[in-house]
Amino acid sequence: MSNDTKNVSRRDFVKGAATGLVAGAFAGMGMYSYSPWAYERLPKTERKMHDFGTCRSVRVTNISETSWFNNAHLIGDIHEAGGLLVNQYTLNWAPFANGKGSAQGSYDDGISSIKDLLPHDIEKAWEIQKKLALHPENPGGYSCLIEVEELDGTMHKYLLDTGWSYKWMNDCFKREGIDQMLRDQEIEALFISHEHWDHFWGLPVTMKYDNRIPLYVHDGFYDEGLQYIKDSGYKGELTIANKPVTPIIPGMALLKFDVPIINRVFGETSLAFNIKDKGLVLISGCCHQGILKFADFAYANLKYDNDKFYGIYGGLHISPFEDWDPKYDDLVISLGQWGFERIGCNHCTGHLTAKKFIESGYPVVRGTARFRSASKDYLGNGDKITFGC
Amino acid sequence: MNLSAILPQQRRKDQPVNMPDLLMNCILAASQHETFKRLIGWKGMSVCAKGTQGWTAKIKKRPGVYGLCTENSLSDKTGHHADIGIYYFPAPEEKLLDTMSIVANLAAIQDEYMSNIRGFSGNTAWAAPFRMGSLKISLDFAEDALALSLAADKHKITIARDGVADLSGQWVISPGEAEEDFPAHAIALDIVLALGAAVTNSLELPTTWYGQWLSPGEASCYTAQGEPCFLDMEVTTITDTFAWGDRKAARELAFPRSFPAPDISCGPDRKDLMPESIAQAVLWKTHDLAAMGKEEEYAYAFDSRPKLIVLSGFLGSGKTTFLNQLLEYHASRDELVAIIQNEVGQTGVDGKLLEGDDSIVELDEGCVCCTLAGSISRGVEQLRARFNPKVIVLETTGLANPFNILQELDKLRPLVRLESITTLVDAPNALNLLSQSDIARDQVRAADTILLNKCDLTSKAELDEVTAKLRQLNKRAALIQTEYGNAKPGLLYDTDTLKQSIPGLLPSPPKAPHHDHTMEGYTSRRFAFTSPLSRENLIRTLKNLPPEVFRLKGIVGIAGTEEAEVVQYVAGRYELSRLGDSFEDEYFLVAIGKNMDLSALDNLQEVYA
Repeated sequence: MSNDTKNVSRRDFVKGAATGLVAGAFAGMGMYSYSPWAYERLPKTERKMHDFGTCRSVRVTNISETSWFNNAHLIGDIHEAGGLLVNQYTLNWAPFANGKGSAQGSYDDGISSIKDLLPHDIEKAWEIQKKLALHPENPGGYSCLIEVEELDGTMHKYLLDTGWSYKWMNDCFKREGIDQMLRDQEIEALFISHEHWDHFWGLPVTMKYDNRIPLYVHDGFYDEGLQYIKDSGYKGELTIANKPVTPIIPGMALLKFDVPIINRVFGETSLAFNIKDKGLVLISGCCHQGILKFADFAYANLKYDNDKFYGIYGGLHISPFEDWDPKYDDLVISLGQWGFERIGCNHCTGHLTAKKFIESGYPVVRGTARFRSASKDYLGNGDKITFGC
Repeated sequence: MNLSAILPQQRRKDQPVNMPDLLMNCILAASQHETFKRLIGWKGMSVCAKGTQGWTAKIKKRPGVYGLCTENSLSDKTGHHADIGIYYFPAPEEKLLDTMSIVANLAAIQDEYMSNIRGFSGNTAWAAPFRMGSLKISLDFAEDALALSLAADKHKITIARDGVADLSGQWVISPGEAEEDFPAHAIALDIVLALGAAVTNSLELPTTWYGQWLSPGEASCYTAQGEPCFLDMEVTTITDTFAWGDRKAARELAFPRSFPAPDISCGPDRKDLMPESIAQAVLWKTHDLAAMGKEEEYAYAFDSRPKLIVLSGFLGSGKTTFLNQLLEYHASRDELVAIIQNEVGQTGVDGKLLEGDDSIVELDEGCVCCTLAGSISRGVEQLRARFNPKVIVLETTGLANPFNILQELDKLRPLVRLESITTLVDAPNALNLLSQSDIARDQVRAADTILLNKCDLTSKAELDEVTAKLRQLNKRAALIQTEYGNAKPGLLYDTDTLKQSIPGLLPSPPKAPHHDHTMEGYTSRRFAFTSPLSRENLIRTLKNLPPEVFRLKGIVGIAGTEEAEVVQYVAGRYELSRLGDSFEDEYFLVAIGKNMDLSALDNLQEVYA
């Protein structure tokens, strides 16, 4: 070998290596960067495998996934007010409207117009607010009933989110018999996934029927949100979740994600279940943390049967991080890589995205497109999905 | 300091703070300002799955992908700290690789390179040759000071004492030459300055202090056996520290008292003392974006005009399908899209096929490109006033010639930012069509982006031929192959925010007069049906349509099924699909073509009228 000839580029060299031509050379010729000493070795993180118990089955009843009925109006209102950073309580939507127009709303003005009616006369309160609000017919809401069966057969009922429009949610609650379950105090807790209008502002509807129901919110709630809980007539025990994992009953845990969300909201809590002999089930409101972070957090922290992701339900929002590769279909790809066996999606997932899940062969449980749900690709309003026996 | 944008408002102060999450929240919160993303050239990020806490990200300044990976994290009596490894994975063609290790080069030519990058934090041994430096982030317990410190070698150098040769004995690296010699500090600094700008923005506080330490580091040297050997060569390790909030507390956080005095230590008032790249960085200013908006230098980031996309493509090339993707893409980002659309034929078919009709404003009948050329700006003005959309799509009819509107588009400049002229091309029909139709050729010539659609319906050989033909007509357009109009709309947007030129105006229109559809003799006719059709009958009709019928589409009921079906027919190929929605109107089909013999459709209409 001569020391002064050099005419092989690194790229050509490694291309040869890739085809095996110089494999022998690799072994003998000082592949410096292969030597482990060249780089400090980093500690490998262990999965935490937090054992939160096991349950037998989970059944979700979609009370409502239609958060609003006209997307152009919703986005138009946000943009008119100044965009994604505007405080949601100032948008001038019911029930925090004051009739002063875009971006001129305030929590105090709105609530003072209806406070004395909450929660006993939500019909009248909503009528008053409709006269003051932008696009008063647009609100719907997101809410679902979760029925968990313990290993010994004991049943537990929970609500995730309480929607937006008092009228729409009251009608939806009646359609699914939620009003009576609340009156009978059969529902053991209400979890609010995040502070957004369509998941949280319908709180007085739940309060009307049971104002002592245990309530869980993210510690990213702003002061207006906490005040609204009081002003809705809540008299029960409020839990402000402040740990990444809060166990609820065996096989059920509340997961907390600290993430900034549009229109001055912070943080989303989602639910995780460990179903015996099946695996992990995830239930989300909007999944603003992104499906990738949701699934990855569960993978890194929780112990679940068969080490298997079994099912998922709810709004599967696109990642809050816009992906750096415009070609990369992050929601479709990131959902696919976890191998769920039952997928029930709706709300902020997107109809075409749901269609793409189906085209990609994902096991999407289809719905019936009733009660103003727009597509059978969604697990729609009034539809149910069961995980486990 | 106000941390409410990046940490939970009601948090308990005695809980540990996940500092890498806090840093990423700064970027997430700041990115809610479109302006901020443009200022720092932010191109997006992604969470690493199934590994150590980590992210990948891209900025405009470099073609490769950055990696950030938590290496250590602790809360002690001074506050909360984390060390984050900074990685840079060059684009496979990037010249930088010539200065990086052989193993880095080997990694970069693998098909799995991009997917390995996405998950690099789960395989740090694989990623190690791409590590540029280490970022420390600290927040004091009182929450009145935050510091970012980047430590990286000015040049990362590794010498191959015995050289590396290939089998034939030719040197890849001569003995004693560097296997690695790259500017690690400069590379790492680019992403750290972007992160710093995000911190400034989300704290709404300017950076208060900058410090730099220079310290001797070491180059490495290895023998052929991989053993380290002595090398008398010094390299410089540079540590840059940026502080927010209380200067003293922040400095103390980043560097204990025992640390030697910094080589540079100054506030924002002494930019003359700072290295150029740091003095020029936007992190000194991003706490007040409104003020930046008044500076000429940053005008590019404060352009609030909606983006305009001109969507072109011959009859049946898949414009509506693609438009649906675009609508959902923006809806999921809470962005409003307005569509200016018109249709040859008496029924706005596409309006019925698009989801969420309310974002569609149909201009007058006819072709926006020819007869309505005068009213595009009025349409755009109205849309802006009524909806202030983020994106306006001007969907031209399949028979429109984009060159006819170039002049009009130029006049729209004060109202919109012309993003691209995008032309869909139906791959299986392309060769035939391009040889026959001047309009189809002009649609390709005018494009900035060509979406070659229905690639699943052509052979590889045919695809190559079509590609060559398209390239012959238009060398400069981005060419993307798609199936079912399934292109990520993100591809259409020039994220190169510094680009000032108007892309659609670049192609020089040919001298000859442009053809519009009246010149090519295309006509259209609508057929109406009151009762559901038999599937058999419909399919027989479709199969026997004469070649003069180029395009047929519509919505019909099918006997024995509940849902209405969408009929799509292009040049002899047809498709029926569920509408997926209830359909209350009269069933219809619209045929478009030249000198069409429509007796088969007449018969069908007679039977089911």
